[in-house]
Amino acid sequence: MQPNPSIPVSFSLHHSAAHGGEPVIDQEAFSILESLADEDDPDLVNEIVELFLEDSALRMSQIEEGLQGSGADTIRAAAHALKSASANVGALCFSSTCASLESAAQGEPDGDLASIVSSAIEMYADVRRALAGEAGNDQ
Amino acid sequence: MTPIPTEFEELKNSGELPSPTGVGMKILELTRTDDYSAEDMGDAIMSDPSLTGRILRLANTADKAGHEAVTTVSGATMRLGGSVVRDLALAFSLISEREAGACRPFDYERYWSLSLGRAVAAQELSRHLKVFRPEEAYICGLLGEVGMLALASVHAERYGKILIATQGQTLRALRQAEQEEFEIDHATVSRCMLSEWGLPDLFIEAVVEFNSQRAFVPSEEPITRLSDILRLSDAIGSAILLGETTPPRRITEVGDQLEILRDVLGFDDSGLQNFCDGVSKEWQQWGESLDIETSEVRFSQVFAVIARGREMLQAENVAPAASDNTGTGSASVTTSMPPAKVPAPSQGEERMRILAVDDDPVSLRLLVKHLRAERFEVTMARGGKEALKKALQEKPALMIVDHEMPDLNGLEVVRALRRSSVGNSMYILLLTGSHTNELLVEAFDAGADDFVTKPFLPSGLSARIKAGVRIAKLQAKVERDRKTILEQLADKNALNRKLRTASLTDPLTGLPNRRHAMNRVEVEWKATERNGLPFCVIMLDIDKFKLVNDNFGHDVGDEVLQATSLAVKSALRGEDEVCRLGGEEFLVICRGAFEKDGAIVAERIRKAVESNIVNSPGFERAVTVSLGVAGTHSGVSSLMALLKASDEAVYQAKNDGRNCVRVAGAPHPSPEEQDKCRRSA
Repeated sequence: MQPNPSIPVSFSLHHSAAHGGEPVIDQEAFSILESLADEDDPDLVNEIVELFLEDSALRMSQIEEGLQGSGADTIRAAAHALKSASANVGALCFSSTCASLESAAQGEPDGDLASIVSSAIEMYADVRRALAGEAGNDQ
Repeated sequence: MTPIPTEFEELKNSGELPSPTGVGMKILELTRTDDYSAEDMGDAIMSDPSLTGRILRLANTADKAGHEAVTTVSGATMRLGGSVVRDLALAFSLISEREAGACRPFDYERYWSLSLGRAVAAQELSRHLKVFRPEEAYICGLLGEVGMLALASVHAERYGKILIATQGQTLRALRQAEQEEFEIDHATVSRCMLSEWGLPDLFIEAVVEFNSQRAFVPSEEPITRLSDILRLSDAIGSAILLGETTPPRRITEVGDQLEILRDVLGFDDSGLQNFCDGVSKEWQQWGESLDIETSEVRFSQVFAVIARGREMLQAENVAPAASDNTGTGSASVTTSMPPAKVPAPSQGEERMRILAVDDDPVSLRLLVKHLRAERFEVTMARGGKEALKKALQEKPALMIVDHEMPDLNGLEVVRALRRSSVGNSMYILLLTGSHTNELLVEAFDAGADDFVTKPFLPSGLSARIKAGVRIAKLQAKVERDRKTILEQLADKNALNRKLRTASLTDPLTGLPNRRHAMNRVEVEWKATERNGLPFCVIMLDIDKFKLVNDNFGHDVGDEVLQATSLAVKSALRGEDEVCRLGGEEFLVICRGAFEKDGAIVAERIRKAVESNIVNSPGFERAVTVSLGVAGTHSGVSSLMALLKASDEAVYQAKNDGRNCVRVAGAPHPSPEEQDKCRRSA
């Protein structure tokens, strides 16, 4: 399925090899979202992407704060919310990292948590770039 | 204490009267007797944190004398007194249980906004004038019109029709319409409810007076003073809520009342404005605390609206009256009309309401998208607390709630809702990220009807929702049937009463008929036998009535009967009653009266009829009556003898030339005769 030209989402961008090298945005998952747009809601995809960008930035800053002191529970709640929101926009790899982060925050040792957070931060930057439509270099 | 009318009992039996629930009901039961323990009541109140907060708030705002802030319920009880705390707890629990939607034209939100405005204004006025206790005035203000709420709850549909029919008219017109439809008006219902809840007599009487239409005259009498405070408070409350849609006549009325208020308080215009701004601010803060809709209102703007309203009204009055004028133009202080909402025209089948709750905006947006595609009317909430509030306010038939939320999670929302009457019948779907067995068991235990796992497939969600809709529709039907049955029951009782009334009423004159008269004299006779109090009857007969019928026809005859009824009525004392026995014969029953008192009433009747010109075409003259008085102290031995004596006195009067009064028996009975009469009775 061809992406709607009005939505500048890049499907060619991939995560770095360290993060699995998979596409940042899964085109098939994203197309489910696209198929929902209709005459009642022509702008749905843009709207959802914007909602995601806004809310996810907030959640990511909560995760960083959580690491610095406010606690694992803050991280768990934010990661949980990000998990489903990112899956909805097709960011499946990031979503599964959020899932690991959520379970890590539920009881894994602290050192592990910090490293997953830093991966999540790097992958999140990819997600933002892909959703903003930046043409990525295929790696 | 005034007895509770049967009409109120019928409202009560409908089970739909607004009533304090939960903590409020518990407090009501605890405090039924006078020797309740303040500690038990304190415990009951503290079981509800929001109620505790509201009571502390009042304890601290009502007392501005610089005392230290109260921080506990027992401290509040000490400062305000146990009974005030009790009444407050009742009033507040009534607000938290408020329902919207049963009676569509009744604007529930506005009703509470106005009641709160009245309450806060009454509190401030009481403080300023240093009469009554501010917190007592507050309670009276808050509950002053609770009867309207009751009628809207019990007779949703019929009351709605009345509200629409009397829209833009005076409060008096509304009360008349209520009386005609339900045989009880909202002021009486308010009185009965407050007395049922055990509020002090002073409050109850003041609330009744507040609803009356008396002109404003300063008074020292407590009931009158408190009711005047309520009426002036109502003016401030109404002024706060004046809007673009308020008719100029009503705006002018509120303006007049504010002028009275200014004079009562001895303020100039800017003093009044400061005072009202203070009330408005307090109102807003209370609105937040009680979750009642308020807004920021400045009285400089309110006064500008009033000035504009006056100009518009003047312009209307100068222009030839093209439209019909529904107002009465009376200058007396009137209380405000209830807010009437014109219902929106229904567009085919009504859409089902659903509340979608998720803290993640992306999931929420997608969920809403699906639900709208399924033709639902969707409301959204982004957290558990917001969800609870919206669920209680908007009463959707279904709710889809995400489990994982930071403030209150989905299960907590479900549990809280299942405890309320609104949430009991709602169909609730839980959205979960994972579906461990433990979570599912917990979810069904909490009261969820079904669950859907995320991420959901649109088709799977649709299927689940369809099942929910079917059940919600069944629920709604059961609820509707229940209400219909209760309403039919209330209607049936009212119909029975109407029939009973009709069977005792003379259709031509509207007076009680012979059957009623005989019941009534029997009751009076028995009372006399029991306690020896006197009563007397006046029989009267229109002179030469047959000639009227023969010479002018029966239509004129009927008009003479009607006019005579009115003339007789106008000459009676408060407790006297006139009945039409048949033909041109009437009976007046004077309770507690000796013959000499009866003779005075009879003479007054004679004069009233004699000077009353019957305005029937071609007739235009007065008729006369002959009257016979007989009392229980003239030595009669039975009721029949009493009636016979009065009948003979009428005969005597006729013989003596008509248009006169004759009294049966001795005019002044000696004590021995009184005694004898009692024994013989």
